Amino acid sequence: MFLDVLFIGIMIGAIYTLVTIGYSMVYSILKLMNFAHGDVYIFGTFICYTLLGKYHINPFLAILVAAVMGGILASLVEIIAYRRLRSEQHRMISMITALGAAYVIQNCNELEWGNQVLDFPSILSAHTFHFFGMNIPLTQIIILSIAVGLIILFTVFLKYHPYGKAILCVSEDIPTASLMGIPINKTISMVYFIGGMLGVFGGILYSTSYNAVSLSMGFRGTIIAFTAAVIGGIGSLSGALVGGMFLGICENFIGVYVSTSYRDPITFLLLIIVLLVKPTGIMGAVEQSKV
Amino acid sequence: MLKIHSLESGYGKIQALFGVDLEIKAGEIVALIGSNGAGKTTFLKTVSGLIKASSGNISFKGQTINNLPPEKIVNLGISHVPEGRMVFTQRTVETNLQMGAFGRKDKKAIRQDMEKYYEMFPILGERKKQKAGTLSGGEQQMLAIARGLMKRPKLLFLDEPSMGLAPVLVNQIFKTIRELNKTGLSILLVEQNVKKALKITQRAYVIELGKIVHQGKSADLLDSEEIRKSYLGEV
Repeated sequence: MFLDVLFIGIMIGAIYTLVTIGYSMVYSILKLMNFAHGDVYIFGTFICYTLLGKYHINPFLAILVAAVMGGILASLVEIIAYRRLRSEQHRMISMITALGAAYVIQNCNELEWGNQVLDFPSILSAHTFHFFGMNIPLTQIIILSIAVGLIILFTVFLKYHPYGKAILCVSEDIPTASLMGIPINKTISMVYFIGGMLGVFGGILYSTSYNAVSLSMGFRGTIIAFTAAVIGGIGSLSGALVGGMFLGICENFIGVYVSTSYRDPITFLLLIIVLLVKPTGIMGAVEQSKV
Repeated sequence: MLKIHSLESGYGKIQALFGVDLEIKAGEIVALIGSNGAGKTTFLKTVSGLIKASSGNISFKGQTINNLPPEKIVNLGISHVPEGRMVFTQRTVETNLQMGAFGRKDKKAIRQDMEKYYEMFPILGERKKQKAGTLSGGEQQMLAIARGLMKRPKLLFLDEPSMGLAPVLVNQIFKTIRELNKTGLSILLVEQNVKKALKITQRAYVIELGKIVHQGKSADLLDSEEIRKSYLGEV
């Protein structure tokens, strides 16, 4: 039982990590709270729902199309609502436009898909595995593998691809990165695109494992991403992983051993405790300023 | 090579440059000197595109480059090594150099260039896998210069390369700068170490409150009474 709960917790944690990566990357570059993040990923998840349920498209193709559309929407939000404000001194201004963008997308989502919980078609088989005394449905194993695979893929991209390294340099110092010939606007759009895509993958995996998708998961996604990023240490990939895992595992244990209704209160109490003990987050370093 | 005519720019509503004229010919090494806040760094930033020029004209190899974004300007052949070195401290020495070559497609030549600079600055070769933040100030300056050269620029801007370095390192940096110029690279050197800067350059401009107040051969400026008084602290 304990191992079952842990396994599912890790799976949820991996999904949360996917959702958090995009949010945290955007913060590390622009120091911007991207409030639209959750609404973008739920948009992609809804697209996948429609493609699967209405048009019966091949699941792989549907997931890919949905992820790309989520990525495009994320970059559009950046171009329309954030880019012109980047040079403004007050970050509060872009925070407000971020909230605005979030509400526009949320309401468009509601017009199209309503605010009820919808049945998300199950893509994966319901076969169950038994090992080490655990009863793990095949679905969960596949979901965990996909999530972990995507996290590894993105890590490798960031570490070894020239554009991945460029993203890291832009997040360290935008003016100097531009002196290297790194195209800043293109790089930032790419961060939004990839972040949106990973978020949609996370949303689809989440909806698949619970067979449900709803509008409110969008706002909750933003909160989850924000919390996981802050707990782990905002702006770093390892922070997103640690924060995502922490949230996922805590949530599942509380949900199973205490009660689902106490899941969020206890989780956020833990957030407060972690921050009181270590304000920069578990993996966070103190930001160094120029002397 | 670089021709600048009555250039004005600043930060928001605060104007910092008031009609600067400056020229650098191919192969020349030129100094731009002046006290703190005179507009030296603002001038470099405006030419390399980090700050928008509000009026005037900047032409490089016959092409007007006013208000092009910095990433376009560096690709035309002007490399700007910024004040305070500004290496990417969280990335390795090697990655810093790779970023300097961003956009270049000739992988083999990039490798060769890197080896060349590891030879020129052996300490960088020894520490290529270390984070740049772990290097000393002098080592970071060498890295910043090598990174600026990875683009194979025609013109190199150096902003206060000797700032905060121990005297022995200062001499080494100046020697390196002179050697780079001998390979045919044009250099614009901004320095507070006026004496040393005038010694290794051919011509120099003196900037005060956003205007060029003197210009001429570096050797002549070094002999000028006024320069000696204002910038070399001699009575």
